[in-house]
Amino acid sequence: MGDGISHPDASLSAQVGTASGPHSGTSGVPIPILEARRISKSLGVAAARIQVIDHVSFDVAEGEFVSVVGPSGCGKTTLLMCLAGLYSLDAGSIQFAGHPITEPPPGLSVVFQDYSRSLLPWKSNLENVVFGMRRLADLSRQTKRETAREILASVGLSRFENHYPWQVSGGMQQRVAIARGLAARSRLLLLDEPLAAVDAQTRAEMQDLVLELAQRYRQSCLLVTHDVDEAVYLSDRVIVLSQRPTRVVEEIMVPLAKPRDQIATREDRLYLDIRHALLERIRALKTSVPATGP
Amino acid sequence: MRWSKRLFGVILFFLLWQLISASGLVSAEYFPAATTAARALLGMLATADFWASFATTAVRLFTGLAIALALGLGLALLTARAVLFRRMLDPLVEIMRVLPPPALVPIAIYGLGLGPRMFLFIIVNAAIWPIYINAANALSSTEPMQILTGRAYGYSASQILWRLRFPAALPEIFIGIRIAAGFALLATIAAEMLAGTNGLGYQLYNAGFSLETPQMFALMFVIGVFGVVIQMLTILARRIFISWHTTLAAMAQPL
Ligand SMILES: Nc1ncnc2c1ncn2[C@@H]1O[C@H](COP(=O)(O)OP(=O)(O)O)[C@@H](O)[C@H]1O
Ligand SMILES: [Mg+2]
Repeated sequence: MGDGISHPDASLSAQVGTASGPHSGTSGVPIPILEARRISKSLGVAAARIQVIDHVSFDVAEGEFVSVVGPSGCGKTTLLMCLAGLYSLDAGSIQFAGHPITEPPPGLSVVFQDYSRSLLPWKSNLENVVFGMRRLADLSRQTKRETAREILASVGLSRFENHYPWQVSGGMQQRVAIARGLAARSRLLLLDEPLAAVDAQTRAEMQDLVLELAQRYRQSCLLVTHDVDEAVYLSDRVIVLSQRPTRVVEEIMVPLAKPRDQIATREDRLYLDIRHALLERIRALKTSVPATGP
Repeated sequence: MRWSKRLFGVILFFLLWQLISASGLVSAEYFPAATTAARALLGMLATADFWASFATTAVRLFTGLAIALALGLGLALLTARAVLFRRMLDPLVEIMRVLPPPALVPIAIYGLGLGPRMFLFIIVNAAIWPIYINAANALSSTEPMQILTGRAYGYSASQILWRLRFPAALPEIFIGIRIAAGFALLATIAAEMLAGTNGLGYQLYNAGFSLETPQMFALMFVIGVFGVVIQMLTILARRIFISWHTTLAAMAQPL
């Protein structure tokens, strides 16, 4: 896996790492594909209702790769569900490609943390990937199947395309779920801890695949992860969230050169410095009480 | 292994039957020997009359079951889209489903006469509720992550019903069909016994009350075997339509 991957958009690598971020507009200001403005969200009913998200604001620029890290249970999944248009907001607004999100918009796809339950047990792995291509209406069924086959091959699952999801391991199921997200060819891909069940070697390969496809299809990505190394390696920017009710405590730019390299990038001085800063920030969060409002 | 054990039980049963009747403890008139009943069965199977009765009963049963399936599923799909409708319907269903099929025979005769519509009414009413209840429950308890997935990838509410909630509900729908098939046989025989002029139930009633006990036992045996065959057909249909679930269920079973 990973061989045969070319970089047709090599020119992109020259752009990233600059202070203005990738895909800048003519004015030099990045064009946001996603704008979250002071969004709040509570979950649960009656007395059990808890505030999960507390006035969170951030942007994702066109073509940008943003990671969100935060303590477990802080509300990362809830945030992603809101961004996907799957949960309604209590307050604030989200704009995707310039339009307010009220329901899941075309051009946005999600790889759910609960990959196992999000795969349909009566469909083969291939059919599950095809299921994610509903919005590619101009493609014939045949073309969709071929594309799905290629993507399953690129995540190393050629031999398992006719298996059912419950016939393969958790790590493979997670790769089917990622393949389904990638196959939709969306402008923005939301990924919720997509590599948690994948073994270390495959994880590195999958990271490079996601990066490479995001760049090739000019996709923007928002990745939720608990893995700080993964966040720094993949991202143009890392957002740190506080404990629940969660707020943005820090945004760190990652101006590392692209394409990234599993060995060279991870030895880069800048990579190590950013990683260090992030880890310290997160450790400080664990010992402090949740931040108060501005 | 499993089959030989089952067969062993059946053989034991017939041996016991034969022993009891040979012992002279029971009256041979009311309780004929297994061999006498078997001879009556063989004789009966050779008559055109018997096969006409069998065909009549089978047609009634399968027609009723098919109508119950269509109506029950249709109703369940309707309530899946209109929750208010389901709230209104469910109390009625609770009453209808506990009414024993024979209890409906008199009113069905008043309303529909002694013709085929009366039989269909009794059978459909017996078979529709297990199908409806299983389907309605399953359609309203789809795994939430699957629905979120459908919504996230751009499926509309009706597409989610047809492409997610319905296939996800199929295993439970087939359980409903299996229960309904048993109820349909019960209702068919009961209605034929009470109001029939033909069919296996009518023949059984006649044989029983004219003291043709060997024929009576033979007919009971035929109806029993028919019931088993119907159950096997529903299992076969399940295998064909949801083979994935059969494999999944087999995997989940401890070895
Ligand atoms: N449907 C729900 N009802 C009530 N509480 C919920 C619900 N879903 C999640 N929560 C709670 O909200 C908090 C945030 O959950 P989640 O967004 O899944 O966190 P994360 O993804 O960061 O681990 C958790 O404390 C969780 O228990
Ligand atoms: Mg989560």
